[in-house]
Amino acid sequence: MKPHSFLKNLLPAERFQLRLQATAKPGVIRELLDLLEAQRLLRDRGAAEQAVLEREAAMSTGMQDGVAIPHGKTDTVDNLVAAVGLKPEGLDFQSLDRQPARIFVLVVSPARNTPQHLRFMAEISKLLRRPSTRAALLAATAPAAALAALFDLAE
Amino acid sequence: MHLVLRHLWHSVRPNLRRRALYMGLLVGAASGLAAFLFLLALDGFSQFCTRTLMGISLATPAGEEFDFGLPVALHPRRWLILLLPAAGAFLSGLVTRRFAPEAAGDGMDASIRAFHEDAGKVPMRVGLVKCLGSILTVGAGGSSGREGPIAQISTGIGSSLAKLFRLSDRERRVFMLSGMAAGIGAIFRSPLGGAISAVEILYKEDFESSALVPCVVSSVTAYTVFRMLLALPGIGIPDTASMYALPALELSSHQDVLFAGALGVGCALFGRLYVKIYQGCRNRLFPALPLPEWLKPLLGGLGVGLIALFFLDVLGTGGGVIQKLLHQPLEGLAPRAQLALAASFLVLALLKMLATSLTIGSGGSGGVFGPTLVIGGLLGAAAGGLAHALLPQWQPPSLAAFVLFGMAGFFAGVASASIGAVIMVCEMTGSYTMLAPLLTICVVTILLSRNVSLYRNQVANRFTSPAYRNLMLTDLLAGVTVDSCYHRTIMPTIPENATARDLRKLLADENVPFPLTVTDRHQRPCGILTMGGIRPVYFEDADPNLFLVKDMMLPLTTCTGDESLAAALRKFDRSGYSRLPVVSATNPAELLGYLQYQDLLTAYEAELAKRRLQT
Repeated sequence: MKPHSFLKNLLPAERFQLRLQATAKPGVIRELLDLLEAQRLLRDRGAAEQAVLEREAAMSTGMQDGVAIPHGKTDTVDNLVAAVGLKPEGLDFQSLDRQPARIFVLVVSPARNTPQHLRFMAEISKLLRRPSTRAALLAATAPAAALAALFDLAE
Repeated sequence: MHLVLRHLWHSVRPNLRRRALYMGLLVGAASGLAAFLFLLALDGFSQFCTRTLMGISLATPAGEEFDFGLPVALHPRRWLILLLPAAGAFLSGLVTRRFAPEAAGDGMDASIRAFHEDAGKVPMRVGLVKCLGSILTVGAGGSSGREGPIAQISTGIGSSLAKLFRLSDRERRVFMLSGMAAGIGAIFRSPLGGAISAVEILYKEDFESSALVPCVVSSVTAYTVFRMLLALPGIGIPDTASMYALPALELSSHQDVLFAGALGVGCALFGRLYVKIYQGCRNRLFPALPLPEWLKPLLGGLGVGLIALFFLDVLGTGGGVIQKLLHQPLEGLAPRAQLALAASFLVLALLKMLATSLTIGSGGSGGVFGPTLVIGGLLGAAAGGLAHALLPQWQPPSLAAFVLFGMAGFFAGVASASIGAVIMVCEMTGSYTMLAPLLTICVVTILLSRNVSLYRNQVANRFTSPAYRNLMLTDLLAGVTVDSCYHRTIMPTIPENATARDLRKLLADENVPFPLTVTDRHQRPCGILTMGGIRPVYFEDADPNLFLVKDMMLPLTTCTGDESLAAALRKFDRSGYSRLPVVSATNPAELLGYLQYQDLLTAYEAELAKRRLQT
């Protein structure tokens, strides 16, 4: 198996939103959920939103280096679904380092599927720790380029 | 504690053994007497019906030539031959319907059912009604066996004695079965065959080995009592007589085994046909008839009478038919005559199948065991005639040998009882000369008769018998509650909003036992944290700030004190957790302690030891 094939299967090009419109945390989450909803991946949009916002209220998922991974668990999805959103100018996500966040990965999975949920977040956060990956991703102008940047492919 | 239990267990065991001996003797003696009385009543009524009323004389086995001094009609009365079997079956139907509806049909199958499903309970009432019903059915000419009713009355004796002495379910089953062995052992004068058949016939592919010794004791006792009674002055059957008189037989050559093996293939094929016809009558034809139940045996009897107008030999148990076959001259006849004989035997075998299926399938009383031996004997005789006519240069065994092969082989196939059939045929004829070819034919038919059985209550083996189900894991655990064995200690819990960093600290500082119960901000249990669950967070080199315990936990599974351990076992199974929090039944937010998977095993072992002591 190729490296990252687990992530790649869960993040096809149509799950990338290269220019987010939102200017604050709830807007980012809603916009990424809109994307998933449009692709008919959510049975109950309200439940998914509530799960993510509740989790966010317990502790912000904004980490260092402008990366945030908002996530939630709800049994209204059958499998883990995820989407990536970019905001190169950055916005406040109440991150640990109090810096604006630019890269957002939204994850929603069923309650039973905890191991997969954790694995996805662990792997994506590890991937985004490399400065060159983050820079290439933010510079991408098309979903395919973003995908290649994230998984470090030569175009 | 364990040592005490073991000591107790060992001190009880010899008593159990001794009890098996006493009970076997008692059940055997009573069954032997019952078999004797039943045989006299049946043969008396049968001779009255056939000789006095119908005006015909049916052959009997050499060991059962009773003389009741009844007047014999001068000429056969054909209308009575046609109607008497129907009248007998009709009366039998009324009697069983009125006094014991469960006595209809095949008695052996009912006894098998009682063993598996009903803790060996067979009321005496059923046995008595069954005997009366069978005397009416078979005596008046119905094609049915005696071992069904005798098995039911002797299993009733075993079961009732066990009840009288307040024995456990397990022992009741054993003594009920030894009753069956005693009944068969006596009526067929086959002590070992009766015992082996009884332990064999319960299963398609297993033996009830724990009952073998009591079965042998009761069967030998019943056989002895039965023979003593037959030898009484006025009855006058010589004490040495086996059921059938056999011409001198010798194992002529190795070809006997080959012929037996070939006949086995035929027996298996005809066995399938027989079971089809029998089940077709019992499960389809008669249940589908738009008639009241009490009228159906009459119809079956009418069918038998109709066949009997042309073939008298289908009437009754057919024991005499075997006796005639054993002495049928065949060698020296022209091949054409031998073939004609073979054809007539085959036709009679098919008609006997039909007559038996009509009699018992319509609800008439009796058993299929005896007719099965007769059909087998006829098939064997047909094969013998064929072999002598077509392959004289191969020196086939004598016709009598073929008859024995057929009896044992055919019965073994349709009853899934191989060894019992072989020994029974040897004992019924008083000769073990043919043991090797008899075993050969039984092995062949059994191998070719998978999934074929006359007895619908037979189960595959002990693992599938409800009789053993109470020794299985879940049933034992169903009687024990969580309350009786959970640990009343509250394990450390962890709040759902703790971070992965907090958890790491907790793990480093204390010896935290996994799986951990997770609590919400109101201190209510809300999830389970397992070691496997947190692995990705710590071993994938992930950012520990990203994860809360809430992200890592798995869905909550709890149990309450009033639940059974069987229910708890299902929860362990489904969740995969090795420990479950125990919460209050009235307030699921209140943690009371925990239950470990290990506790179930301990409770199981204790319960098993307890049940073994009780039985």
